[in-house]
Amino acid sequence: MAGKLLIVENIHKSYGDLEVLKGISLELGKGERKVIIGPSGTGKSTLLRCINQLTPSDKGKVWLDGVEVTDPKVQINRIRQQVGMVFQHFNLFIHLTALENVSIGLTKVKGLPKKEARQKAMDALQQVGLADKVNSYPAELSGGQQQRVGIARSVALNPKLILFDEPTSALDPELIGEVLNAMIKLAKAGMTMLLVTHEMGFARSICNEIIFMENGKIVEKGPSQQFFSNPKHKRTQQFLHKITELYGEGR
Amino acid sequence: MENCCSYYYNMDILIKEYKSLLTGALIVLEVATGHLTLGFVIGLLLAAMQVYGNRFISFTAITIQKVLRGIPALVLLMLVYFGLTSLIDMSPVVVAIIALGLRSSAYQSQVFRGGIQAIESGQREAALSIGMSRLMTIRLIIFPQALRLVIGPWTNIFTMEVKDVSLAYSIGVLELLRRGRFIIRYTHGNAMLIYCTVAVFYFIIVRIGNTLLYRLEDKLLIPGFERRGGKK
Amino acid sequence: MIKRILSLLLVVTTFLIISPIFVFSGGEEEEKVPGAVVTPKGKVFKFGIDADYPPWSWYEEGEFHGMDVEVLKAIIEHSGIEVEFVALPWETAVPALGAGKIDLLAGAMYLTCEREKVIDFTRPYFREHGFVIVKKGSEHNIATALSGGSRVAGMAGGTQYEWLQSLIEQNVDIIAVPYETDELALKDLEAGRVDAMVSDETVAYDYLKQYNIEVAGKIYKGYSFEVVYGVKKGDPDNLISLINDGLKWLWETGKFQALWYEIIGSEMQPLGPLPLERETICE
Repeated sequence: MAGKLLIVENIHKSYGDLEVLKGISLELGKGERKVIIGPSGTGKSTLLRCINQLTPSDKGKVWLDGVEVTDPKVQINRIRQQVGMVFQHFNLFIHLTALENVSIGLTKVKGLPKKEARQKAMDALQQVGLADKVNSYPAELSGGQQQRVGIARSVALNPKLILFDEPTSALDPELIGEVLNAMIKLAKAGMTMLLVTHEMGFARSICNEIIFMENGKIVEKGPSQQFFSNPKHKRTQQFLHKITELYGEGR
Repeated sequence: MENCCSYYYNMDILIKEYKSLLTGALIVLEVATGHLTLGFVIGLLLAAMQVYGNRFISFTAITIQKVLRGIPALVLLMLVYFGLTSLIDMSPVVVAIIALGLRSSAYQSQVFRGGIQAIESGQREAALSIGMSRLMTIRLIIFPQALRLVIGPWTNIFTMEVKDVSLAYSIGVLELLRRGRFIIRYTHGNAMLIYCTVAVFYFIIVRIGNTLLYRLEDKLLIPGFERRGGKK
Repeated sequence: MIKRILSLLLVVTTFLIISPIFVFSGGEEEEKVPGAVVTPKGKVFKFGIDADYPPWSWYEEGEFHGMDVEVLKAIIEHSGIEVEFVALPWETAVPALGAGKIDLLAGAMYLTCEREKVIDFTRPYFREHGFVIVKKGSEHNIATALSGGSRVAGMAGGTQYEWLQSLIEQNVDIIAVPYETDELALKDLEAGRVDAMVSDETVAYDYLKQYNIEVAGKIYKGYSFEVVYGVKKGDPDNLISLINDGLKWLWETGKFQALWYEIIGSEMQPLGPLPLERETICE
């Protein structure tokens, strides 16, 4: 277990009588990229939120770089600085410009001086191709642009890993491409990523491992190539079939 | 006996009493500003208690609001005048500010709560996810957005509450309306003239307040977001 | 930007909440009448005035005026106590006296049985009678105005209306019509919506000058009251003797009469301090 960046051990989560996560375990090493796929409502988003404890888990543990995240004594805010999150609905701060959205974490959370923060924010926005939109407000940006700002906001804080919760599901088809490109760039730069997405082609091309979840449990996981060509479980086969029917093989 | 023409002859009543009326208007402003500000501070506190507090705190806040909203302003004035002043001695203006302020806080907290709750949970999630503490989230993300949502309804509260100030006459605050009535009393007439003057004063105060608030709202507008309905 | 608004608000709140205590000291007119001698207690008395009843008390150009006020001012100066005048409406003033928020209440206060139970009184200094008023040129006289289904106006909550109701209880055939203020009643009287009105003598003389009315008759028995100043039950500060002495002094030096003629006019004679005719006026 030592050496792994992210260790998730036997996470359980219930909402009232409904148990959404029934004992999930996975690991992520530095530089690795994994994708979680599965039917809607199987707890994929919940799992991501348990990792940074936006949703506290009922049972089980999470370690980030040797520190137990689920320990009640730990300063969760510190941990969250090191875990980036990109949301399905972008969740940009609507009262701040793109630049301010990215820099606020640097100035207020990390405590960097304004000038330095500003520079870092500009760099991050440039990386995602939005250098010309730094002073725009989220309401003035397209969905794809907003999501790219969201990515820049997470990246600027220099996290150890970034969680992506269906980052393109709320986008018009034409705008998905620009976001995926930004994510590819990130992957090439060596960022550790944990994705939840329906974009199979994309997932396949950049991820090391695919994890298939259903009904709160991991049904099957394996390296990308093998997974698509030779899924072991019947259910996995069914799902992949359906998914490639809808979303296509490659992009 | 009054007919329309007697105004013109009696205009000198206004000249004679303008100082008193002006003082009355200033007192209205004083009580209005004081009690609205007190209501603002307490209202914010109550709203925060209700939204962010645990069950007990939240329940307390809700009960306080219900009580303060359910009592007529006049009754509250009397309660504070006869009750609170037996503990500490305070001038009627302060009593009025406290009583009206308490009541105002109940209405204001409703507005604040609505503003806070209208903000999507996603904003909060995003703030927490980049490592902001709860307090930081409220201060930097929630509050600035809520403020913009709240200005419109708050302007309504302001407009209504300025007029409630006239109730303070009952505990001895010689505000504008009371002074007007005194004049009518001892001159045995001039009712139309005086009441028109009082109405104009109140109208001016309300109008100026509204304009300032609209300006503030415009200044804080988030680009790309809808403007308040109707106004360009 | 928001920070600045907030800190400004905080400063303004604090300032506004604290300042009235010093600056306005109540929004009431602070009339500290300087005395020759400061009372040993050093206490500042609060005299409540219902400034709504000329010629006994009214508020003009930012100051209290009226017979009650002038008499008190004279007594205050003479006795050297320090007094602050407070303007309270009648409904609040009486309980305020009972609760000790004010030390004395003035404003054409009539000595009635119910009041006697909760507050103490100075000697009366006038006896007020009722007037029955009718519209000028009306055919009513005092008898017809108070019978035959006549509509009679009286001030709501006041002794006038109470008296009318007591008449009805004694089977007098009138309809008692309450009015919030005398002005409204007078308007209706002139318009013919009521046939007659009951008013107090001293104020009636003022009304006669302003409205198109005339006096049908003066009531002696049944509607007549002593006018007094009220003090807190038990009179802890001995104000009653102070006022009574002051009244006596004013009368003996002729100042009372002078004030009377100046403020109330010469239609009525001043009576000066009167003895209280019975131990209690309750029957």
